[in-house]
Amino acid sequence: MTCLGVYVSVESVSGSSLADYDEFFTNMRPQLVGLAFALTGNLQVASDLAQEALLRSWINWEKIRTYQDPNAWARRVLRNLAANHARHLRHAPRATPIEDVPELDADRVALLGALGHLPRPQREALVLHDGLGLTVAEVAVELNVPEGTVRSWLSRARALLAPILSAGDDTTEVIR
Amino acid sequence: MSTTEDRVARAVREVFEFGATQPSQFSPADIRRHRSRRWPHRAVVVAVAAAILVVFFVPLPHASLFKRLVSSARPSTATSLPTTVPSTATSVPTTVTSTTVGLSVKVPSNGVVDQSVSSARDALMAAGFKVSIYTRLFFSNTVPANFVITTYPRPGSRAPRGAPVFLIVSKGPFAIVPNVVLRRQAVAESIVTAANLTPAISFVTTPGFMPGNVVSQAPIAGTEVPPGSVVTIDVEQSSASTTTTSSA
Repeated sequence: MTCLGVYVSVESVSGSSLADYDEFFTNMRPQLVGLAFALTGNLQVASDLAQEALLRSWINWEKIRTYQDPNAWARRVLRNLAANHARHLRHAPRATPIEDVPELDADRVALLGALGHLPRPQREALVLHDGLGLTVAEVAVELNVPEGTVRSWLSRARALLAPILSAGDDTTEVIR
Repeated sequence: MSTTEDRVARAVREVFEFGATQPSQFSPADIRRHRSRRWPHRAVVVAVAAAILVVFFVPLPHASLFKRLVSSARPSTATSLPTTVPSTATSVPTTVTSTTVGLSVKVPSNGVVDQSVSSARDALMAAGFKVSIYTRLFFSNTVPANFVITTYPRPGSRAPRGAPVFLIVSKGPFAIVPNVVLRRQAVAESIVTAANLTPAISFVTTPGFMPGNVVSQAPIAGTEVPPGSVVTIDVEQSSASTTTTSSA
């Protein structure tokens, strides 16, 4: 059976492949959880989505380890999972969209809520650029859009989010 | 980057790092254990997809295959070979050989072609074909009237058992109506008579035609009719009165 053959072949991966995946896992897990948290605003959901993305990476590991950038593949899977989760939330009863995270101050919690109201492309561009630290060119490649579009999305997203942050933590803003 | 943008970027970075620094709730070993519970699910999906493909996309045999299988399972007199055709007044007793291969039957040629309709019908029934036989009539100068010219499907070809067979039956010899329009009356009569037909002269008044010339004819030229049929010839006359003369 073909599926059994796939199963056996995945289970019989070489030791070097296993070591590669462990390294990939160690590098990518914090990144994926952070991305998912910024995109969904829920730690538990972020952990689940990151686990699912890493699981899919393992299932396809023999293929994606040959890719130029397996990390981008995993991030793409995570973004799709987050979008599916948001779509599901739209139809599900919304109890507490943003959990109360005691370690985060009120500003950051408000920012998380505001991120959830941004259009999906803007939110992803902002998190990839400002959160993960990718350059505009890298974000453009990852989102498959021109660099000018990424800059436009970033500008609009920041303009929308700026009023949410209280002016108190930046004196220059008060003076202006 | 302006200060406002800087603040937003810093806040997003903090949110990201907060998520990234959460302790891990799973390990690579957990992932690999999870994998082993996934493949039966995939096997079910593949099996269902294969079943759908087989049901909808694999070309089935002829629609009546099942029907034919059922009919072939029943004992049939058509399989008793050879079969003697009942003799009729117009044909000598003929042995019809219906060769059965699989579910199709060979249309017999012996005892059908050049035989009377009743004898051909008996032969076809004996060969295992349906009793309801269509007949179509055609003229033939070689096959006498009410005798079979040929069949459809052709004699010697194969057809499903019980399929209807068309009999092409002769209407006897025919005569072709010649063209006599614009001929003189005497010439037209001789041409029609020479074609084994009977001329019927009808005088008409039509402007533009010379008196004594044929204006029109019925049936038109080229029609196949039984020999001796009447061909009406309209001849132009100068006077207004119209008379009909038959030279038959």
